[in-house]
Amino acid sequence: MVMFALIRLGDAAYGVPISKIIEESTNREVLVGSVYAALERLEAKGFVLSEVGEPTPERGGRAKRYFRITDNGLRQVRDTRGALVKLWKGIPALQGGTR
Amino acid sequence: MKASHPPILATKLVGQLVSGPHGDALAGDLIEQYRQGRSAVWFWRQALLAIIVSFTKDRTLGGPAVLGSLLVLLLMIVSVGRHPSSLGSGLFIMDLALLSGYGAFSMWVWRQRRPEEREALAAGAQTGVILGVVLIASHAIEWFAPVETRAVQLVRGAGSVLLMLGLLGAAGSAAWQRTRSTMLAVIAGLWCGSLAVVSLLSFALTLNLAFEAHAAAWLHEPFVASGMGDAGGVVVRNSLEAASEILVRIPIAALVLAFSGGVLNAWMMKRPRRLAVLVAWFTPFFFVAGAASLWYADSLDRAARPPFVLAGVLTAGIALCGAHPIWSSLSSRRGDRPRRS
Repeated sequence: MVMFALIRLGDAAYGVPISKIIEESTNREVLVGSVYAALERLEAKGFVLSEVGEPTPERGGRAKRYFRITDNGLRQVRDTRGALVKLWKGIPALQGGTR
Repeated sequence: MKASHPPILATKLVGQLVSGPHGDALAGDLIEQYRQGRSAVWFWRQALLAIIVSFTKDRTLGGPAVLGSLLVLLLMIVSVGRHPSSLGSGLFIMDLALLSGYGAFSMWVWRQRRPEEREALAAGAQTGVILGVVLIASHAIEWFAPVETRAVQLVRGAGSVLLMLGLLGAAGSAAWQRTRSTMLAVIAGLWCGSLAVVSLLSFALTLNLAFEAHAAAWLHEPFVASGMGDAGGVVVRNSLEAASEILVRIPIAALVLAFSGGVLNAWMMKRPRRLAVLVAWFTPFFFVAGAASLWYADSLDRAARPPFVLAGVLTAGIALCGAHPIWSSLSSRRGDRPRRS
């Protein structure tokens, strides 16, 4: 989910919009700490890169950290999508929308 | 947009207690959302949960290790408090000083922000958890199933030592592979050993407190020989002695083995693949020779054992220390290593 958010946001991906996108798509409150924990794991696996932006006064002088997905990460998302589609096709109860 | 300040204490707690490289950015995100209209309750909830998440999901295990060191310290104080007769040899003070060093190291690990350091420490933490489980399992078997045949005793005793040698070497090798730094390889090995020691001591001291009568029965002979009037005091003194031994020995072993693991990996990575294959073929023979030497030493009188034990540990240790570098060299991609000329 975090990786989908990064793809959608492009160059503007940092903690606040990433959390908002996930919150809007799940209709649930997101823990910003969990988003960062996931981003750190993805970064360690080489799926995501990060860089520090400029500090701003509305953030109490703290800099934003921008994230972007790597080619390796993009490949991973495609593979996951392929696997999910295959699994989805094998379950008749999930075909044709909700009941 | 709100002009007011976000909760100062919560902001400071996030900045100080969230581990990893993103603590500052996370605090900034919370402040930004607060100023966009989120409540102070929301801010506090997010801050506290961020600290808990960072504590439980920290790949370096720095936070849990700080708590582990404090737990060991507490268990020692309680044990000595129950049996003051165990004091007097200076062991308690030495253990406290050593544990403070472990606590300070854990604190340092917890505060690390740089990705390279964290990668190396994560490698140390992974191997440290495995080593801790091995040492705890060995201690539990010795404690709960003391009637063992000679073969079982040898496999349990020598097996856990040899696994320790292999895991400390693997910590250094894995950290070098992730960071290409020998210094960080050594730090990862030290961290691996430190986590394992804290885990083992927490387990062993808790057992001693919970089953004191069992421990006293186990140490009946030393109790009679000591001339002390308090069997529990002998148990605690014995624990303090064992603790000071491993608190000193494991970091020394970690230093040497992690350095060797890191250097071996660096050396193997620069060599052609066929050399790695050749070394992989010979390594099991080294290990078998070491194990045979230990087996033979066990059949000798105690006085005649040391040269064979030393040779066995050294030979099997070299083989186990080389296991991770060989594996990583064989599984590395072609582009990572020199081609055959």
